[in-house]
Amino acid sequence: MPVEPLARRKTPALRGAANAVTVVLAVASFSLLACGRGGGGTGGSDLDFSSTLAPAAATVGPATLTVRLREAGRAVTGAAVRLEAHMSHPGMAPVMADATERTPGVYDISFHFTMQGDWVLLVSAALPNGRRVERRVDIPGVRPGGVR
Amino acid sequence: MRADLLQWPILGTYLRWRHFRTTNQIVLLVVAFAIVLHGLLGPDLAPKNLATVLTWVHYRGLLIGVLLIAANAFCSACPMILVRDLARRAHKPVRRWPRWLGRKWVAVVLFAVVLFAYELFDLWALPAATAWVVIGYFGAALLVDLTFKGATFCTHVCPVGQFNFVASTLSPLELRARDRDVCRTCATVDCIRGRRSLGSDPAHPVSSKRESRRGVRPQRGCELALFMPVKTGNLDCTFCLDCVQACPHDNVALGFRVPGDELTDDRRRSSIGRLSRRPDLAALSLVFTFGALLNGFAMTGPADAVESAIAGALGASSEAVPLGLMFILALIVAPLAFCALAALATHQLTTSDLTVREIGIRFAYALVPLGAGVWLAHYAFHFLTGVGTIVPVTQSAMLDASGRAWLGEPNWAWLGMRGGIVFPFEIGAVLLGALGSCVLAYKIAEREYPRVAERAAIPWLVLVAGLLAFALWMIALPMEMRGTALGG
Repeated sequence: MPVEPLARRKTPALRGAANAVTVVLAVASFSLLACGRGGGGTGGSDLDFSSTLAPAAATVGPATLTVRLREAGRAVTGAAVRLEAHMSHPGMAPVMADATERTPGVYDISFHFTMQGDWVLLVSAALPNGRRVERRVDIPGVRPGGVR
Repeated sequence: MRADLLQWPILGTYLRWRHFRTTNQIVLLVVAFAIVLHGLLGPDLAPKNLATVLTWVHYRGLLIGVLLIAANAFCSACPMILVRDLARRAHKPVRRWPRWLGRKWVAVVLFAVVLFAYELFDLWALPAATAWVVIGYFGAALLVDLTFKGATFCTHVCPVGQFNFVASTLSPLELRARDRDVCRTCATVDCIRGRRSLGSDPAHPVSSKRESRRGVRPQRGCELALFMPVKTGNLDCTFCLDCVQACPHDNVALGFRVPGDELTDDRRRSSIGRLSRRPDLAALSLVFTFGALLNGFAMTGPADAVESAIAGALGASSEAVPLGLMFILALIVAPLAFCALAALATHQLTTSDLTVREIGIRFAYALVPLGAGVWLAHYAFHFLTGVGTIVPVTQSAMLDASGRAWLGEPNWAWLGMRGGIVFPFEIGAVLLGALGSCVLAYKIAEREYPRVAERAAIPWLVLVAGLLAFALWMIALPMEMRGTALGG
């Protein structure tokens, strides 16, 4: 028959621990909730962003993401476009790549899918006028190399 | 003289410090708080969120590693118990866990449900869902432990706790009585009973130098009803060290032992009884082992193909149906079938009076090392290949929270070891686990069938070999990181 443990009385040490926990949590809450979130996606409504992936049925191995940028009907030239490719699973190696401008407003980003599974491509573009644009492109189900 | 970590300089002093546990709990509580906040308010991309990175990469990797090295250190530092202790100041539970719910069956089912939910909802890819899991876990612990007395949540409910209990049987450390003769002469049994302060507890006079030195303060005894003189091994031990604090004779040691040996020990142990009479613990061991294989297999292409095939055959539109069937096959049908076949073979090869069921329960514990090896291989892969990602994710979280890069701009070049380097470690972990399972199977056979141990063990060695082959094939497969969060 198990014997019930005795109840503890409040001790100064435990009160101190409880107070410490309260203070730590309150400070953490305030700092995280009070402050606005920086970064994140930005982009104007007049910016036309489109992308295509080649090969269309993504497989492990080389791939090219082509990004087209147009603003107010005109091709955006001279933008610094960068790719940050993550797997949906945390802890996996992301792939970083910079784009080259093939024709005015058309940017090619060559990179490698290093593992099969689901990928998220984060494309950021720093426009010549100082604006910064971020878009997310989901690529589910990247297959093993050679499998289509 | 056997080694006792509690007597070691610095480490022993820290372990015996009365605020040792609270300090560690506060640290993990702050981590849990960060996980919840960033999970709910941070980016919804799993690799960039503290909730998913800390929970599914770092916590899991550290958990299995620490369990196998330093026993149940994570249960010791469980922040839910800290919150529960604070809540119990306002509300003291009076009920006992109902007998009809059994001792571990609820936890066994919940353990399987957690594994199923993880796969079904792709929790690793969902920061907000991960945060809600943490919140739900705290809520469940509070609900259970504010309803029932003692460490009911730890003993009967907590799925992670059951995982920890089973894995910690393979740790080289255990808490035990230093000198059982001292326990025989102890009149107060504070290790389990606890004590009130001096003066309010007539049964407890100051009886040792330690008490004279420190004074007698209120101290909780073991909440899991593990009575030190007859405590064996780490099952159900949360390493809270309440017994260390409570013992007035300084007679509790944190000593070394042979990892896994307790699984072959069928003596009656405090609060648990004999392992051979605990089908719930045997079932827990099987779910632990086959769950490891299923959890790893689910991340491979063939698992996807099997699931699709089942869905096609059943015409199921929801993933829950084929996945549920896979879980039933892997966690119920396969373990029962394999163990029944092995037990039947042992029954045929020996002249034992034991029934097939009794043989199965006795030998099921032998599979635990193999299961631990697979868990270690799987979680170590994620941890070792992604350990550095905590740096840019923390940098990113700080940027999210404050709008300034106080810790520098996120540097996504922080990763970990390359998968190819980790691969030999994975193979080694699984092989070592299989070797441990073979040794345990033989030792159990030797215990039950001293004259024909080799014959009795053969079916179980064959089973271990089969499971090992599956585990090695699975590890050699390319891992596939899936996540429905993409919705693609």
